[in-house]
Amino acid sequence: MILNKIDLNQIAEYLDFDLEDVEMLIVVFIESTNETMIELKKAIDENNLEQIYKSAHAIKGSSANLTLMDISNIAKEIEKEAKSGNNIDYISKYEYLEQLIKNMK
Amino acid sequence: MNGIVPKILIVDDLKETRLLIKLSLKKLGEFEFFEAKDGIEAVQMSKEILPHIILIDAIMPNMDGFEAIRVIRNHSLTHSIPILMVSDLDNKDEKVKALQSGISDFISKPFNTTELSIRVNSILNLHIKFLKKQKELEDINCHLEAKVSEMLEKRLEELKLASIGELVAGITHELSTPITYLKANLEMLKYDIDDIKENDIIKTSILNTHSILSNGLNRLSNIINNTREILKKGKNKKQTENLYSTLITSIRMVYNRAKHLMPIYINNTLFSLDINENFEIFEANIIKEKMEQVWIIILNNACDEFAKSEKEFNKRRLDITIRESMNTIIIKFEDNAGVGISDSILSTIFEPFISTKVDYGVGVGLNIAKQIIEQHNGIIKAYNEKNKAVFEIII
Repeated sequence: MILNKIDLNQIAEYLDFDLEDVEMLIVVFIESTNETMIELKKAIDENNLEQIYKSAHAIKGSSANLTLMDISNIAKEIEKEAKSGNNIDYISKYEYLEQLIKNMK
Repeated sequence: MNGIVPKILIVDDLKETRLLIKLSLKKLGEFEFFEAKDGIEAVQMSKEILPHIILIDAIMPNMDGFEAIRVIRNHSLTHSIPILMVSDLDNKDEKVKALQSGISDFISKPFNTTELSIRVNSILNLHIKFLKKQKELEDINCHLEAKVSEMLEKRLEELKLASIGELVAGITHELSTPITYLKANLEMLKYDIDDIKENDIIKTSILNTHSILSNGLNRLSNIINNTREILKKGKNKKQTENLYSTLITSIRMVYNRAKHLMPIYINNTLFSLDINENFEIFEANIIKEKMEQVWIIILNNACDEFAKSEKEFNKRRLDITIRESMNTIIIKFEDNAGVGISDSILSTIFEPFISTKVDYGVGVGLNIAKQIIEQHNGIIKAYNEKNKAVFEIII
């Protein structure tokens, strides 16, 4: 498992934002995503596919906006499986996602 | 942006997306941002703040973007607000659904911040132009209503005057028969008086009385004739007429009052009742009755000024001159009643309700005169020259 450190300068360049703005965005993103991750974990524990889909969808979108494609791709996989009604090993995907987010801090 | 700070409503359940959109648009200029985190809040806030644009996500808790758009589009206050959907819809069907819901544009997540700001900018520009045009139309509409009611009032006034005119026409017509009768008999009486032998004291006395009666009757006859003259042509059609003759007619009408106040000179000839109205010819395309109305207004004003004047009668003078100059006719009224028109009213003398007459008069005369002159594409000016008040009309 390779966990890339995020490069704020690269994000700033991509978004055409100041570094300051990107830092603010990342802080808000982490805060908000942590809440969504709690929802996602709960949904996985309850095997609530509808909620798994919704939570994964949210993480997919907001991480993609910040070009955090590693996070977005995992979230997208979870979203796709849940939408199709598949019972896969969501928990390991969740843990991978959690690692990626932790790594940002 | 066109002098106003546009209001932008951002609707997304994720705080970081709302922040990302705000930061993207910050580059465009100054905005007032509002945020809603679901469809219910979006609908409520749209009605309250009437934003210039709404940026809305599709998938949100409580009420999704599609339902919110439907409600916003069906509300009279919010139906024309542009809506840009910012969402990550996967398939074609969802995108078609989004476009059919009544949005102005669609942008996919993850979005390019520059692309987002360009799209928002062009939608905002268009919408603000639209709002301005809408406002202009409303203003035009509003003026139109005022104009119609003003015209209606004017028409009513015209109808009222027309009925008074008809009444007066009837009276003058009825009066002309006994006057003719009186005149004829007075003439007969003159022959009888002539038959009385000379040096009879009674003859002198009767002749004197006859002359007074005759003068009075002539005056009465003049008034009746002039009134009939005005009433018989109430039309508004311009015709080639002799402006000099309109001046003579007007002076005749005010003469009974004017003769006690000041001598009137027309082109340096002292006016008298027997002056030939076609003694000089200055032809112009005019509505004769209206021009006469202008002269009467100015003549009456001059009379009012002389009535206040302390100058001896033989030093008083109202000079009317009429001359041609480069395809125009210039008519001047100069009076030496005072020392000219007071500075305090000179600049506003043609405005309605401006008057020097403290005891009477409402000050509409010169305003009417100005309107008539403008109707003839002419110019009316008031100024002072050598201590005299001058009214100059160019037709």
